[in-house]
Amino acid sequence: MRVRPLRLLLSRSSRSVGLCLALWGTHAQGQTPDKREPSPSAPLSPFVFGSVDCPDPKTVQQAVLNLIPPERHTLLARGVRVELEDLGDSYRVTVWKEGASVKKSYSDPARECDGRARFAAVFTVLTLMPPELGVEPIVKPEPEPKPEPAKAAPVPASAPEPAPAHEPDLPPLARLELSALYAYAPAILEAPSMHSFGGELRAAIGRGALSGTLSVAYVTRAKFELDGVQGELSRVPLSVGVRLRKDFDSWSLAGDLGLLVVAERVHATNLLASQAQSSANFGLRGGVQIARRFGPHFAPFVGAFVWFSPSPSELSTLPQGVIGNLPYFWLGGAAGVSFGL
Amino acid sequence: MTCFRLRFALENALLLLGAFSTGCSPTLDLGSNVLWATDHESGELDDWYAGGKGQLLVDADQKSTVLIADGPAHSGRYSLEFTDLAMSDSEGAGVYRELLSPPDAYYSAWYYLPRLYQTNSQWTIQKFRSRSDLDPTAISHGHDLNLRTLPGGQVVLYVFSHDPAYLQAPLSDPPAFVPVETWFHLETFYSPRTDETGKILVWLDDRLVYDLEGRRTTGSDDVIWNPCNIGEDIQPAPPVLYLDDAAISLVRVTRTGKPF
Repeated sequence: MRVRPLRLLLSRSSRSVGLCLALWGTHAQGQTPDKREPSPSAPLSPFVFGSVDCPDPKTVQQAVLNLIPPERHTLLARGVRVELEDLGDSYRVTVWKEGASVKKSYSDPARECDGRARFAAVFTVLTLMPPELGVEPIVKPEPEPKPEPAKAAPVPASAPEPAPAHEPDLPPLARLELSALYAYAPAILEAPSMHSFGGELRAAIGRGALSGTLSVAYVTRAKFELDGVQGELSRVPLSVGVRLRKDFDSWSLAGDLGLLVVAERVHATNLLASQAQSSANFGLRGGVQIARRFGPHFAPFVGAFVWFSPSPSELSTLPQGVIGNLPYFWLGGAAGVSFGL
Repeated sequence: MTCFRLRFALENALLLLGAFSTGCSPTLDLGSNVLWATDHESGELDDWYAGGKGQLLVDADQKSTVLIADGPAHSGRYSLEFTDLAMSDSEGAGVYRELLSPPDAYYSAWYYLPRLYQTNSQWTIQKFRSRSDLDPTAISHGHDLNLRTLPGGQVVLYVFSHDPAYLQAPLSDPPAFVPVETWFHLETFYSPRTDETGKILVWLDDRLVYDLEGRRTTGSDDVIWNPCNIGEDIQPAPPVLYLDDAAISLVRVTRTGKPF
């Protein structure tokens, strides 16, 4: 449990990685003296390659060794390979381990080679030794470990086919949001005031700042009175739209805007003869939402929204005729949880 | 570029929304508080007879007539024409709807006087009556809505009770003048009570002109609503009047109401 917040921190910013790694290393050493592995008897073969000077592969390799406790250096001998590419204003680090690779590119127009080496080393260590694994060894000792060949070939012919590269700690592609809501419609022009409770299920698809949303809600029977006629209204608002999200550490702020289709069912409760009527209305939905993430897959949130129907259904009875219309605006608040998928 | 696309998409969405909104906002009919109504557009009196709760109510000699007229109509094509040939102060041309143990309700109808008549006697255009508990075939008189012509040629509406305790109610102030050759709307709230808790309110063209409370309004458990044309000496004889768009409702119909 202790490593989860640490991982969150690591995923936020590359600049904080070094500090977190140091903390993690301290934890690992301090809490598991009985699990220490014996130090390797022979110096490690080169495992950082690249025909580049900035960063220098040797500097990176040394930095990696400095970051990893000596008793765990044997991990570097198990199919580990680090490749460096100098792309001018940026550089790329590719870490291979047991046939799989992870790539990361960093922008560095200033070309600070020492800094590049430190970042490459930190990225390498984090990739090989994810902090959430704690003191457990990443790879159990094999009966007959096969060290890497000593020579520094750029890419060995026998190297396994690289797996598709993936970004570590990516946010979920889709989120499901389930919330309880309260909605209030003010009396405007010929529309009555009413309020009600309900629930909403929303899917937000997209990892970036901009994502698509799709939602369905249900609002229980809202009571109203118009010209002496009492009635009840149930609503099922459906919306499709876009979301703009901004993250602040473990908090995120999102704004939604979308088209709204509302299925409505209304009936009078105090007429001599009454009949339930259904209709569909179109409008807009807007909302803001603030969420607090607890891990990549769970985030409670609260939000506020507005449903706008520019041309709501008119209501009529005999003998009065048209007595008014359904609300133009619904204002509401919602609270719920978001699940990352 | 992204901002431009977003703006373009938003503008299109708003246009689409506007198009949908203007064409897709239905009027939802929630129901009715109308107990009964007719606009005479069937060309028959069947609405008055519906459910066996209505009949013509004419003089014993059946001289007077109640006919569907293809003449002046408040709405549509047809109205009801009353011609009083009985020349009696208690009988004439009439039709009624009967309600057993009715709730308090509003009785609404449009009237049309085709010309100015001189009233040398009382001229009744609407009655609220009831059957006798002792003899159901006997229909007693209750409250009447009458017209009277004033020396200046104006026609005023007043309420008369056949109960000796009440008789004629004071004229409203300002007077309830009814127009000639123009449709006017009469609506009466009638609260039938056999004790002194009944109530009668009368609106003429949506103006409350009589508010009579705290009185007996019926002699039994039923109400007979009887639009009519009854007068002993109305000149020139015979007097004719028209009625259209009649309704009995639990809420006010008003001039702008749509009871059908």
